[in-house]
Amino acid sequence: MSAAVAIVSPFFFEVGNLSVFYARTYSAFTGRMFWGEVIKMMMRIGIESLPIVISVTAFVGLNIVVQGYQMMRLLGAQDMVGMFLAMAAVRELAPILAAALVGAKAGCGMASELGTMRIREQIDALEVMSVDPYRFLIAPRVIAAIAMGPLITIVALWSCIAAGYLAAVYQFDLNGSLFLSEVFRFITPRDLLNVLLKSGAFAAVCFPIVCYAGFYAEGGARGVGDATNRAIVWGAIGIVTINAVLTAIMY
Amino acid sequence: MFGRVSEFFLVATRGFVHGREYLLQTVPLTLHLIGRCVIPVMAVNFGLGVAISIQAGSVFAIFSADTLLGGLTGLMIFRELGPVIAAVLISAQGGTSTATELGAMRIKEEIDALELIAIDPMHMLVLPRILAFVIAAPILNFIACILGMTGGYGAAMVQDLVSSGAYSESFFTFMTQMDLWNGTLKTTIFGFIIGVLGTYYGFYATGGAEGVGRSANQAVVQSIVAVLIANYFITTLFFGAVGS
Repeated sequence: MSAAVAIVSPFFFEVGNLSVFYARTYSAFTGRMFWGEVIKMMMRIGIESLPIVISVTAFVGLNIVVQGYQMMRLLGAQDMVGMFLAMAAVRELAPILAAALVGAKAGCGMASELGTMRIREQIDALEVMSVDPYRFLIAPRVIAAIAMGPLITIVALWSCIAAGYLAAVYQFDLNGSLFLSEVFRFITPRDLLNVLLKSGAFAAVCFPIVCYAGFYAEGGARGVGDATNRAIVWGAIGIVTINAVLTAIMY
Repeated sequence: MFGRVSEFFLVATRGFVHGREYLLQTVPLTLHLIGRCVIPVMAVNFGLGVAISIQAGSVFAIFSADTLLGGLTGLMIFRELGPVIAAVLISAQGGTSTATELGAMRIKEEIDALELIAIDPMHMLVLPRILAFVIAAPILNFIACILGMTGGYGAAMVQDLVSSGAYSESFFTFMTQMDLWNGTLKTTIFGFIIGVLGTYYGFYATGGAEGVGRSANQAVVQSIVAVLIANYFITTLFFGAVGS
């Protein structure tokens, strides 16, 4: 019995602590906002994440076409590979990958930054000066992520499709215009709206988790690294769980 | 950058000759790594299997090829998503924790202390960790694929997309042993990439607590980028031929 309590109670402690964190973060959205911080964070998220988002999604686009070609060949429908790319990239992979990469690059960076501030007692210093750390540190980051997430996802989408076009035309000798018409036939405005909603939801739910991991770092240099680790793992699990739920609702 | 990492690895491989007494450490490190990574890998792949199954179900309804759902979901998960997602999570969980561990040792000057007592940290710390990643990655990939299929099968049953018999029949029709070996080879290479980059960034961490966080961040970002780029080339090697 006591062993079970020892395993379960830290879990409930974390869940409760995280809920309080969410409540404080979102209640800091009302009232005064540090817009300068928001702009700074938006620039940081965008500039840090864009290079890796573009390069990684380009390779994923190439890869989807190679796999999709082989799979569609089983059905005897090689020309439909454009449809496969549109479905796989637009509906699932571009939002997940963009969110995961923004989480890994900017999110992890912010977790380790907040962790360092906690270790060096800068967050306590803010509280002493009666600056609400949720209002000054967390809320701008979350707002910036909610604003930038969908934009980065759109960039990821286009880089995915452009790279897929290259693979289809130059690696498999498919007809380029036929490929593109297949792609655009299967991207509807509703799909794009769903993508934007998805990536906004990822940012709104998972970015506070990432900040939470950094905000409560403890234990010196090792603790900052552990906070970074927790941030990315919890963020990834959160993204995929929300994705499964949203996919089930949307389609 | 590439040259430095290669040099780092080549120096570490000298441990096969000069540091043989530390190679046995690979076993506990591997078990530790699998234990750390297994829950995130399972959770994420299950969720992804559910999403893939729902999406693929809506696509195959267009072809009225619902009975192929099991087979094609299986191909997608075993060939592509299982290995890649497992690798991303191994680098998120295992890569960062290795970078953190070695980075903290570097910051606290424990690595210098090892050198001082004439123990080569490359042999004692780095090589067993790289080997642990190489061994653990295919095992985790196998677990990931099975959980992905469980999620896919569960979603197909709950949403009533296809009958259970048709699902498993098409799965066993499409899957070949080749797909399993392809995933194993892929994740072995991914594990190697993650292990080398994780230890490299941890080993050369500088700048206090902030530096440890930065090296963990660098390790995960660089290894995800490297893994996904390597993935394209391995896939092309296996499936890229037009007429194959």
